[in-house]
Amino acid sequence: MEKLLEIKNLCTHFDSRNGCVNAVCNVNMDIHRRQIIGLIGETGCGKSVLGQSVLKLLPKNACITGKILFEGKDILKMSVKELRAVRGHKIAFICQNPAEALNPLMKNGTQIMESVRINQALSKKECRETSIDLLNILGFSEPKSIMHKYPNELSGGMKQRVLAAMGMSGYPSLLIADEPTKGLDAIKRRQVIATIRKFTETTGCAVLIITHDLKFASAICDTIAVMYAGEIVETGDMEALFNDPKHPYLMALIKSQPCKGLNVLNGTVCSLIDLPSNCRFFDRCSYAAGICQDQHPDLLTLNEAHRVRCLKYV
Amino acid sequence: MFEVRNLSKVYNSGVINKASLKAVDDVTFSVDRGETVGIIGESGCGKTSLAKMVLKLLKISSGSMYLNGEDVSSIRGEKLKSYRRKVQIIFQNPESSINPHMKIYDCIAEVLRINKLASRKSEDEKALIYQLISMVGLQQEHLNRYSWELSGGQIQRVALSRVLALKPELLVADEPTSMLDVSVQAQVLTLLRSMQREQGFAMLFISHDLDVVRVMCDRVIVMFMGKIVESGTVDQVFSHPCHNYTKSLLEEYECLR
Repeated sequence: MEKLLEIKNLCTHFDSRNGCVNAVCNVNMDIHRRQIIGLIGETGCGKSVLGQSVLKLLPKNACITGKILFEGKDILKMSVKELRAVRGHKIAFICQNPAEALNPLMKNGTQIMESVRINQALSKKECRETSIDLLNILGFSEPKSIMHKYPNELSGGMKQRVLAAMGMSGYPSLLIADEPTKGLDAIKRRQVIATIRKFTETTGCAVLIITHDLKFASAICDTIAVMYAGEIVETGDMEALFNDPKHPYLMALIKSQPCKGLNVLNGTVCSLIDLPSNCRFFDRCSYAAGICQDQHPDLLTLNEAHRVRCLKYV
Repeated sequence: MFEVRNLSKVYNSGVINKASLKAVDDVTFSVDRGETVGIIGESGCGKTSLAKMVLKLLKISSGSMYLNGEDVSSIRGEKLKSYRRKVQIIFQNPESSINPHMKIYDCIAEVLRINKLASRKSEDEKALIYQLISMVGLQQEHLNRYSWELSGGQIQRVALSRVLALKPELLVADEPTSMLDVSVQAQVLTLLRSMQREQGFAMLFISHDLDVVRVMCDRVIVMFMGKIVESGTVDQVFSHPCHNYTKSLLEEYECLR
């Protein structure tokens, strides 16, 4: 398969009053065409920051190092003008909080048409038709009435889909969706899955899904990467990962689901400001051995697709 | 212990083009002591409106509510104050339910001061707060922080400690974990369960996550478009759903397994 996006040794850190916050450390990741890849992990483990780094959407105090190659070009070295050509057209981003992401003073239709017009050179009438088509694809039964409403008249799930319509308006080759199912119920979640599937099939775009919903991830993703405290601790095929998790963190995460017995994983994530030099999961790990206290594990290749960062398998 | 009869809530909007929306429509149910009743339904079906009416944060359009046999649907003044002491809520969004300008210590102390459980800045107050936070598993260092310096799970614990200070008879949990991660969700839910066992309060558990409801609740109520369409014990509803909406909800859910 053809590589679409290649992330090499990506580090993102923020300078704050209390010191340097290492949000993402040494992440390597490849995204191929038509692939749906999931990024899972706890709040504050750096998964959203990783997603935003790809489009350079971070605040000014962020410092990104490494390489992000998109279709052979390094995004981090692009000028503002080049970046504008990528954002929305080639890589689209659906952000986390639908309630805050839409402009409350503009009608939904105007907002969708705005993004359609930026991404495609069309007349106003064509823009309107394209927007209505997009809303139709996303499962609205009356797209015309939605166009005339304000965001506050829609429910959370509907707003999410309006945002998705804006993201898809440029027919991007990579879609980054940050928590697309946060706060949605089972039926809506199923719709989101169906929509994303349909979209990848019809346009051939790759999707990076950032989520903490394990069930959702297992239902939609081909490949999954698990993050913990800024590092990728395990990557592999979805089935292999969920049926046979290797890293103790993923094991505990799977066990803490309500349907798997609600087993509590005690403790909290280590601070991203002064990171320990040993294994970052050491304090909470139930398999921790002497060696884990002194050594920082590298990403170990178990088989072709499955890689894990744990000293247990050395 | 707590009973709701024919409760309705109508929202009116518009000045010229008057429109009204029935958010909660003729709802009747009851909750016993020490019992957990789950309310499930899609977003926008009136779950939160119902919760707010139970708390008397929202005016009731019609119907009545009873706590321990006493009609509480139109109480005011002192009686309302004592009612609110007995019925407490945990909100969906922990970050916005705590004042960011106040330290955690003051956030918890405020509850004690308002309800005259301890005098301001006394040793009693300190002891009580230390006891409360150890119950919910926080450390004393957290008391000197602000809410934005804590994680989501920790803030939800602070919210819970404020509720527990009053020893409520009924706790309304409005999607307490929908904004939290799976691992933190497990921590908060276990805590909630053990606190319930200790204090014996009844719980009205609002959620759209069927897995969570299955684990936490004894009985479950399914709401659809403001109406109760089905209710029964968790086993009954989950294994033999009768209403079409419940069936489709469960089907969709099984698909994600």
